[in-house]
Amino acid sequence: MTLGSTSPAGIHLQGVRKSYRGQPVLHGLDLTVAAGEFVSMLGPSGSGKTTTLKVIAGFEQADAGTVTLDGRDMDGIPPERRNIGVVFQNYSLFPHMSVAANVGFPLRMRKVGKQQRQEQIRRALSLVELGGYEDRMPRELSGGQQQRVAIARALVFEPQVLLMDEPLGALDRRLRAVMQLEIKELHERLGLTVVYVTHDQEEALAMSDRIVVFNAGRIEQVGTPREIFRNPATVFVADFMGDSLSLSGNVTANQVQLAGGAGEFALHGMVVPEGAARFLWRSDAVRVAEPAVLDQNGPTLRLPATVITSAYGGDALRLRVRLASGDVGIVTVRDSGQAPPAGSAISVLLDLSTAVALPDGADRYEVAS
Amino acid sequence: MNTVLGSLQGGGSRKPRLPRPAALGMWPVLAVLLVIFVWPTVVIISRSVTDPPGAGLSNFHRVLTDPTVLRFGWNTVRTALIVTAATAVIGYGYAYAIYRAGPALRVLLLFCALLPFWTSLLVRSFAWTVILRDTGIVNWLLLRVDVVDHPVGLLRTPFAVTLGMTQILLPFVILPCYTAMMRFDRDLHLAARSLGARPSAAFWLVFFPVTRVGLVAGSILVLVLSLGYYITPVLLGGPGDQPIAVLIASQVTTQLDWGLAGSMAAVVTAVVLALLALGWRLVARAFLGEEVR
Ligand SMILES: Nc1ncnc2c1ncn2[C@@H]1O[C@H](COP(=O)(O)OP(=O)(O)OP(=O)(O)O)[C@@H](O)[C@H]1O
Ligand SMILES: [Mg+2]
Repeated sequence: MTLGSTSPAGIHLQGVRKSYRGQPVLHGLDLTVAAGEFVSMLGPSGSGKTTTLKVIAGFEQADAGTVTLDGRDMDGIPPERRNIGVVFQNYSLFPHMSVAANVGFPLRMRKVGKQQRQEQIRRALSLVELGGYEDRMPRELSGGQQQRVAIARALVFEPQVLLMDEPLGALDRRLRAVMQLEIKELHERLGLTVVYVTHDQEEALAMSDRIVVFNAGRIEQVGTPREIFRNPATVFVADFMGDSLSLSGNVTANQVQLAGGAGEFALHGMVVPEGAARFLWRSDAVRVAEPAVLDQNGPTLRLPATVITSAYGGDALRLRVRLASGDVGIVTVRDSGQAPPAGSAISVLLDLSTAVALPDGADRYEVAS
Repeated sequence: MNTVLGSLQGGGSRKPRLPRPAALGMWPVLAVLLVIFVWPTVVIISRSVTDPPGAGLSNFHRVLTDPTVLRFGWNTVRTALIVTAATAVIGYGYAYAIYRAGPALRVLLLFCALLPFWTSLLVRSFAWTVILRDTGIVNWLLLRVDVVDHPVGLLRTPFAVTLGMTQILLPFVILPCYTAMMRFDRDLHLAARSLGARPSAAFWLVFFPVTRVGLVAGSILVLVLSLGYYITPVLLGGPGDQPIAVLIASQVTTQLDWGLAGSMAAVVTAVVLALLALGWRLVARAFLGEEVR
């Protein structure tokens, strides 16, 4: 048997609810993860990602709803009989066991013979490029090495599903980038189902087949990274997925009336339901110019704005701007060697063809500033 | 003051360090200890080779061959080992019960565990005599339910000594065990479960080995303390159950044989120091949270 030869399993959650001391944490979750898929769970702190993972792993019992794995109902099946590999944020290596004993632990639990055990340990460690570290103790390893041991330990018994809860959260940025690629490569090589929790948007975008965005115990949107980033379903997702600038408005027939009397423009073929809506641009889709007159007739919207702050970010400058309507957003411009001072007046050029129109719900993700 | 605060705050983070004595202005305390504790010990022990004049090692020869000394010595070691084993098993189990209890029960259990610390040793030992004597509550109960028709002699037995010392020394095991359990990372348990361990396997292969430091540290302390126990055996034990501390005292007070007393004290002190040297790292880690190198 080689690592990963077991066929991966699909995961299916239906109406999963969970409360802690009467406080609902998951409000009826529906989610299907296909066999062999790499799915990331993304969302702000406290939105229920870890809880969902715990319900899948069997560490917590859902109050209502069903969890099926490979078509089998998991109700009442304890974690040790689910055959799911779990990687924790803080590695959770057994501190009193050597690397080999840690990786061999699941095999010992399955009564694998000593000879075969050693062979499988060797293979799992070489998979994460840690051959020769068998006799080290966890405390003698760097953070990245510990994380690799944890991954080897979670893979060595050939689980059908691998759950990872912010596995790279404790690593520095550079090492995180390396490990992201390695995990991605492992996934492709072994073809198992991976559910990966993170609150790093870029990480989710880079690694996943699909992303599940959580908000306060509910799933806000499920989609491919491109869909989530370019076509967010809600204002919350749009805000959460990165810097943007958005405007509130009221849609009537083919016209949009901007909030606060900031102006109006024609929809030029965009299909938007009538009523309150938000128009959103990713911050790199906005251009900035010297102030000039408001022009609402072309496909480009030109609005006056005030710079609140600016931050230097390598080849780009991030500007936090306030529009006349009171809307605040972030735009990025190429660094010209001089940041506009706070309070200076500029114009933002918004191309209607790059706008995302969203129903204006009250629920927004606010970045603390 | 700054250094004290600094070191205390530093202690809250990853590797707590004890402030050096100087930083706490502890030298006066150390000086007092030196005068009232270390100095008398040195004087007593030095008598082992100077009393009677020119004694040399003859006192030690007596300590290691005299049947009375050996009998008292064996009493001491046997009682200490039994008490250590009993406190280890009961203490670890009790600590685990606190660890698993809900918040309200946890407070109650902790309170009961700490109660012995708030009453004097003499009072606690004396309380056991009240419980165990022929007219005490145990015999009253036994007589009431007709298990026996004459009071059972419980007091002045090795059993009474072991029982009393076990109860009195229990907190020294419970506290470090509980501390170790509170520090246990619950994710380790979940990891073990997800890797295929049933709850009992997760307990014995992960929880117990990781929290064992507290047990070892507490047991070393109990062993050391019970080797020198005096009041409890005197109050609860019979003439045949007395430990070496009692013999040392009687050599001084009735035989006036300071030389023999000194050499017995020297042997006990050496054993205790050796045990502490072996276990000090663990004791310090369990009680002070200090990583001692
Ligand atoms: N054992 C528990 N007892 C009580 N409340 C809990 C418990 N575990 C989680 N919660 C609560 O459930 C909610 C969701 O927690 P969860 O750990 O799933 O969030 P998360 O999305 O993983 O957040 P993070 O990104 O910070 O890890 C939080 O409000 C949390 O306080
Ligand atoms: Mg979490």
